[in-house]
Amino acid sequence: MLIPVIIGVTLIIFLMLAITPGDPARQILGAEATDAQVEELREEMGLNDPMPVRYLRYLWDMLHGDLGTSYTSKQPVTSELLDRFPTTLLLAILCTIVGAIIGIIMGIISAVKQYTIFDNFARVLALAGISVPSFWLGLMLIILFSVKLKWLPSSGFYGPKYWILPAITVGLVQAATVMRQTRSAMLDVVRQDYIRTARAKGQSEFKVVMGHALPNALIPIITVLGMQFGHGLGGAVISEQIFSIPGIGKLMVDSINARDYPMVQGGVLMIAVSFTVVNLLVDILYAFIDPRIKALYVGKKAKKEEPEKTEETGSEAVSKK
Amino acid sequence: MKKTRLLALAMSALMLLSACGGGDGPAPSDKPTSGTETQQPGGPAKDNLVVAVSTEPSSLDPQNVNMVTAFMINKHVMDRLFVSDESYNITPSLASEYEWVDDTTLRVKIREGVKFSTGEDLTADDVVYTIKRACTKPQSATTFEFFDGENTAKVDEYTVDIKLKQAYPNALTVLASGRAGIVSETSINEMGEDAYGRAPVGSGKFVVTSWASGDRIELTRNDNYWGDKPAYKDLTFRIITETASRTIEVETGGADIAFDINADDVVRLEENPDVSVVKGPSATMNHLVINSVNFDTLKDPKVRQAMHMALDMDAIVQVVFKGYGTVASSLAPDSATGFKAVGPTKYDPEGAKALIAESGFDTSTVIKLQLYKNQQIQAMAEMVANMWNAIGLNVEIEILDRATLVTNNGNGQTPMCITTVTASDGNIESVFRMWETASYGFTDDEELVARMKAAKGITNEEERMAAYAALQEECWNLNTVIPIAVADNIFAVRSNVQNFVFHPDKTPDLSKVTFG
Repeated sequence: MLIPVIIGVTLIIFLMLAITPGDPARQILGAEATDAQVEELREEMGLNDPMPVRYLRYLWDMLHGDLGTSYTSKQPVTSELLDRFPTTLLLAILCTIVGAIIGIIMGIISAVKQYTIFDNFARVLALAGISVPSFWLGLMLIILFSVKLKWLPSSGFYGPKYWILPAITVGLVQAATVMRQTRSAMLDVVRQDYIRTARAKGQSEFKVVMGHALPNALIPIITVLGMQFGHGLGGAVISEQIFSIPGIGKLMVDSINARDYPMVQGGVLMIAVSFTVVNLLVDILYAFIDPRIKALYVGKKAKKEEPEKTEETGSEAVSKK
Repeated sequence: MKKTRLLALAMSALMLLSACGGGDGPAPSDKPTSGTETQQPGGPAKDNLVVAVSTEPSSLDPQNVNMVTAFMINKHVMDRLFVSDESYNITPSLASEYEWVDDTTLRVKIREGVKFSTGEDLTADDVVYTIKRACTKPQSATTFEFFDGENTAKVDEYTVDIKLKQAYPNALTVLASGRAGIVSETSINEMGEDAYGRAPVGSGKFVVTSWASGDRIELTRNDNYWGDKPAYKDLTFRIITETASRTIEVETGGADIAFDINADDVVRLEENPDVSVVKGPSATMNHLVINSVNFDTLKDPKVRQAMHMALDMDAIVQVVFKGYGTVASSLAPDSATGFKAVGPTKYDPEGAKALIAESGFDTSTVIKLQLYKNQQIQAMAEMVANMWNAIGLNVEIEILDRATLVTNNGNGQTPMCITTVTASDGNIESVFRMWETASYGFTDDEELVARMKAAKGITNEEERMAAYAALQEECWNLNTVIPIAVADNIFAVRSNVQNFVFHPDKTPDLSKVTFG
């Protein structure tokens, strides 16, 4: 799965960069450099070789763990990306946590109390969350918490108090999507017969919702969260800009502007790979959440080895539910 | 059970990340007595200056870079033979004595006992190496065009004969420029050029200690520096590209000084007792450049003159720069040595219309005005296009990204664009260097370009100034470059920061800053 993704992504990004106007050598030397100087640098950078040659050379180097050297900083692309990746990963995790907590809680309440004032309020909020541009929200939060109240620092990413504003900015926007997804998934589930059965058995509403309804509504919610986490790994471009966070998104934008081809290629590749990995993790997570999916995998495996174990696992899953 | 384990795993991963992610060193503002807390009277003296800059340098190697921010930082890390102050007065620095042996030989005696931060002695060999290097590296060769790197040689351990290809009165200005930082030959050979650009070894007042890509560059005081040492220990440059964020960092105390403040914020900042605004005319000219050589539609001098007359420069300065700028009265900014006021051209839309009619120009022809995405340039372009359309021209704005525009400029494919030129170090030569670049298409008059080149070599100061005055007048009337305005450089400074001196080049000397 990963190999076709890598080949596809590198090929597409290579083609896109090839047709994008703007010469990296000219960009480095400036408009006043002579044509001879530019030509010399192009030769040195290997830009005069035909595209297929450059592409194959890139693939060959990549197989040897070498993603090239940045045109601007002259540093290995791999080390630049790895320098930035932990920051982006941390931001993505924090934003997803904020998005999940707010989104799921609001989604549940909104579904359970459908058409009440709270539901309407939450839906309007979700609509606003999706519509509000994150740069505006970020600036407003900065004005409130940094400039007016002086509680939190406005930019940088040096410790927990620096994480709060960016995590809330991106997290709130994500929460809107998660809330809508949670609400619709929950609404589907709460109409099911087994929910009515649970209620008829006299279980408390809390237990009905959290114990029976939510676990069954989790699959689409996890999918959305996974997608958002994957997007987060690509860097929150605008928020990184506003909060001055040295993440992948900012690096990519700067590199595209500077026509730093190796950095752009390396960055896109890393984003693609991490997205694929996140997808895989989400698939694995399905099995944890939905015993039916787990039973499917375990069942296949068990059939081959020891058939009696299927029952055990199945019953464990059922009892857990 | 499994869920708990999963949760524990997730939490430990998060903690691990926080350890390696954001936690590579304390926050710049968490060092002594900075940050959001205000300084207590009688508390410990502040020992860390945090400066917010707008761009990240690609390298700090003085001969391998083309960015003002890089030169500004580098000037704190490396010594130069001469230094120029904010009024462009040049004084010897690393040079203890100097004399002109003849028109093309400058004999410089270097201070003895100066050491690089590695402990190695700075000798004549390093100076010779630096000059030779500056003459060959593509990003510095143009500035050093009259230096003869090959024949520059050491006389003894601390004396160098710097050779020139021809008489060149601006030689000291070039030697005091950002590109003339004296590099260590040994360190470059040991580290390799690329690594040297990230952690340059110099003999200056500060030493680069770390560079967190996209975030900050940290310098610490060189306690072995031969001259006056800075009053504080650490100098941190934070890279904050967003203008609003830079401004807010100074307001909240996260930075002590911020560069490139938006004119919109000046009034608000001036009302804040914790912040003061330091501003003054920059060395950068915003101008419209017209390729009259490659584009037939722009060939007619009458049409270009009409275009110039149709522009209300006062209005542009008021709207785009909120009044924090000066209407251009020459091709060069007022701060350049040899500046002569030859304008401004009177705003006369009716006269412009008449000229267009007289020239017989087909007003339905679409004229493209190209620019790159930049708030001020876009605002200028919109006003310019409206004013031109008001006299009946058909102007279209085309926004490109910067890389494309630079490439187009280099290939002579830009009909017209708004761009800037900086007379760095007060050197008027850089203003005319664009005219020598054929691809801009300002003129195909070879005699004019030859005179521009010759002006650089006129040794008699008065004659040289006269030559530049004549050139400014002549080029102004060609209208292939329409100077618009010199914007102010605006810095926001915390009110406890003292001795911060404005510099038109955006290369202020931060080593003199003290805290009150």
